[in-house]
Amino acid sequence: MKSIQLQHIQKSYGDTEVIRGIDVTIEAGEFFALVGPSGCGKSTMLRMIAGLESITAGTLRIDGVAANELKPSERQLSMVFQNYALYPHMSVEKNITFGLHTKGLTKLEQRERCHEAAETLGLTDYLKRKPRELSGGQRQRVALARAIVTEAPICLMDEPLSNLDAKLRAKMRSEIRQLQRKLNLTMIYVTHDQVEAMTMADRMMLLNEGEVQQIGKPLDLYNKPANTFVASFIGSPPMNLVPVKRSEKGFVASDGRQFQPNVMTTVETATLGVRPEQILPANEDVTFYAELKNIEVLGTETILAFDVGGVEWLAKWPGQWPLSIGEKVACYIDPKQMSLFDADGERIEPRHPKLFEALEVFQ
Amino acid sequence: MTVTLPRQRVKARLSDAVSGLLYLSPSIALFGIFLVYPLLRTIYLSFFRTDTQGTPLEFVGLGHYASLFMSATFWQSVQATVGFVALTVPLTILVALGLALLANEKLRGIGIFRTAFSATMGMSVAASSVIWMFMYNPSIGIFNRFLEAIGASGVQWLLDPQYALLSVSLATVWMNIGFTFLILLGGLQNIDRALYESADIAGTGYWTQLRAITIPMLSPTLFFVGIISLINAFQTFGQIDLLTKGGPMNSTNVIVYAIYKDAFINYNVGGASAQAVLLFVTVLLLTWLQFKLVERKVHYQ
Amino acid sequence: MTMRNALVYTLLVLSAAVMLFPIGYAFSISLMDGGEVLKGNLIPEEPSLANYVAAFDRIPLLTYLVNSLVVALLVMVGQVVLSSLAAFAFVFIDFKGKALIFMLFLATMMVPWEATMVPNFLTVQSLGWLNSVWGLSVPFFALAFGTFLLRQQFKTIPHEMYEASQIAGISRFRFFWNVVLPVSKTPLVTLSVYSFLTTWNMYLWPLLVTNTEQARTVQIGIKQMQSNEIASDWGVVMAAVVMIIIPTLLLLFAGQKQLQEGLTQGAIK
Repeated sequence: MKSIQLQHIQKSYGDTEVIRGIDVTIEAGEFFALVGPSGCGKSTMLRMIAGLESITAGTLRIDGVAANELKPSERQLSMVFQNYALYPHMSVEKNITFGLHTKGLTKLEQRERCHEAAETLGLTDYLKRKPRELSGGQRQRVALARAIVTEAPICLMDEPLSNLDAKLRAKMRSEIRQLQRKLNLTMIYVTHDQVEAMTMADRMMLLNEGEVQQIGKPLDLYNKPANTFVASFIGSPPMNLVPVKRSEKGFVASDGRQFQPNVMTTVETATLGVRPEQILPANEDVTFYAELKNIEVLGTETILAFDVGGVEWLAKWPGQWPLSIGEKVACYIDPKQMSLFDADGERIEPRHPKLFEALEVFQ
Repeated sequence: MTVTLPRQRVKARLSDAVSGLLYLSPSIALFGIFLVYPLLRTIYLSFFRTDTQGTPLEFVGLGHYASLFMSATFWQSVQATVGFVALTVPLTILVALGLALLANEKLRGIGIFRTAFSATMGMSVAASSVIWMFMYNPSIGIFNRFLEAIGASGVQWLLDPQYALLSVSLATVWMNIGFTFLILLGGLQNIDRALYESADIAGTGYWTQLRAITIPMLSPTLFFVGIISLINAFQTFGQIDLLTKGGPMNSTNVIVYAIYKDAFINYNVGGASAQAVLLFVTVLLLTWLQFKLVERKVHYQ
Repeated sequence: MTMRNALVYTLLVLSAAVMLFPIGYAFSISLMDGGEVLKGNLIPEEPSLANYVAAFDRIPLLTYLVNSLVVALLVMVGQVVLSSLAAFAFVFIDFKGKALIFMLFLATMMVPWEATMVPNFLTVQSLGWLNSVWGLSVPFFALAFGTFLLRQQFKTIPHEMYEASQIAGISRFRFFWNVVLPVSKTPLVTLSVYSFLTTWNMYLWPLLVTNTEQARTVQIGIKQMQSNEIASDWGVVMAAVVMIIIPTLLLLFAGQKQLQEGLTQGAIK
């Protein structure tokens, strides 16, 4: 097991800065997801850790040792590529063992390791085949086998599931996670799919335009997004946002709807955010009435679309709601579930956490 | 922002450069010895009077060039070269394009025809020339027999200054069709069938499709073939040596043949070098010109 | 069959007849005796292989064929090796000045080889390579066209494959040898066929650097027949012609598909 430390890592191509100073420590045995929209620098980040890209400034430490200048093969890691990068002219077995000779393994040891890896991934029957004779899912497994056969303590994966269909992807998500636990790998996993990150990662880092937006456990990012970017990237559908102004009772949107978030702040203008599943059908207290623009009944839940302050909001109600477009429905939002972001889009904490706890106790 | 490179990073780059050059070095060395050096040497020698072994004896400046421009033989060879290029290049491309269009039809047994049309690519200039020499033979050759059969009088194909260049050009067109055809056919096959299918649905005819889809989509290939053919035409030697030896009356004395004669028969190495330099400059200019002119109109996918 | 197809077939057959006529004619003549040739027959009345026997008998055709084969194979190997090494460097190794060197490589394609033949002749002469297979082959080992062709192919190899091998600690040369070359079989075959054909058919250079029967290649052998009493014996001449075109025609027919694909790729992408 190895930990990885990034100390103010930067990357630029000429005058273009693509990574603007990243500090994070990835613990040994941790499943760490690097998430962000395409072009955010997450793949570059991963390739710098792998040694495939040079590091412009900052220090990369693997198990405390500066690794900036180590060759990829000296960093004790394996990597799975988006397109798998299998050698098309070699059999599955050769693909898995190619390169093991550099680790000083005998032919026999290579075979043993290969069979072990193949068994783990259910590839035993396919060892003699060429990659083109395999399905997408099987190729993916070969790529994984190639990564684990080296027994490297660190594994890097670059969007490994993006070429699979949705069903297979869900299956592989849990397989990869199990594999990582079983082999106790330190995993860095790049994806643009927040669902993958949410479901697989111990911790995740959200990047945008080369800058860290938030690092934390998936649920922290979900429940307490550090800014509006995180709020709108994480969650499906994403958090509803609307610009609001201070009013006597709390905050008001441009269409006059009033919100009273449970946040103490002095800002005059802000952005209010609410998760779709936090907008509930009102029982007694009504936060606002919504005129339905669209409605999707999905069996287990119903998605309602309506305008708030000129922005389309979505609400996710559990169960099946036979409503029609144009109908007015009463909605309720628990003030504690409203997030508030300042003019720069940064989250305003409800209260000082310590103070909050004290108050809770007091009540 | 300037970053000072750590020492090891510099070393890594250096080793990349070293191994890059290592992989390139055999090619670079041979290009150096057999291309760059002789090119420079040719330019150098073109300013000197030399002995028969090409040792420079006396600097004559632009003397060789001046006497070339004064020499009727040189202008004859320029004329022959230009005539030869003009006769062979467009015709070769046109015929090869026609054959490629035919051979691109999806029909049974089309492979046989593709093989037949590309066959001349496997034919050496020497072998082809000998065959054509026989066909041009004034008494027993097929051409004159045909003329006699229709009651016309025979022609001295390779001995009559009026016909010699034409005859050599015709043989050359035949020799070059195979290669040109093969490349153009490849270009045609690379055109997305969907373009034709959508044109079929729109109800356009063959000639409209040819003009609106085939030719524009084929233009990069045509461009490539054009440059290659032009350069090749300027380098023609074998068929001249075998069929006419530059005659009659220098009417087929194309530039490479003239260089060869001056250098290796008349031992006028300086004069030959001056002509070689002119050939080099011409080819360079034409290639550059063709790039400039055609590139704008070429449709790249 | 539709009218259109009938028309296309007619055109195809006619064109093929015209294109193949000289080859068929030569073959036909090679089977005739002298009298028949003079009569102007198209098809031999009594085909005989006597001319072939005479060709091998009266000129050292076998020596020429062996020389040509050796030279063509040497150049083929040389060009494939040098071109693939250079192409590999251009695609997989990053170093300063790479783009410039590549431009210079391309520029060499614009130098008409004939413009450099005088100093080249002197070089080969001073190396003592006149009348040797080295003089006939080594000057052609470096080939910009081949480098360009293979570079186009190597560029289609996913870069991740190279990166995967770097992570696995596989050396650069091993990657070149065990991955790049095996996955590039088609263009390597293309280049080999192209090299062999062009070298086998080379005329001017062998004319300059060979002057003994022992060293000559087939193309020069053909020229020699002209200055020989055989020149008027067209049947024998054509038999020799057929003998020297058979290897290249066979090679062309076998490698036509690869050649077409490879050359087109090199031309366009």
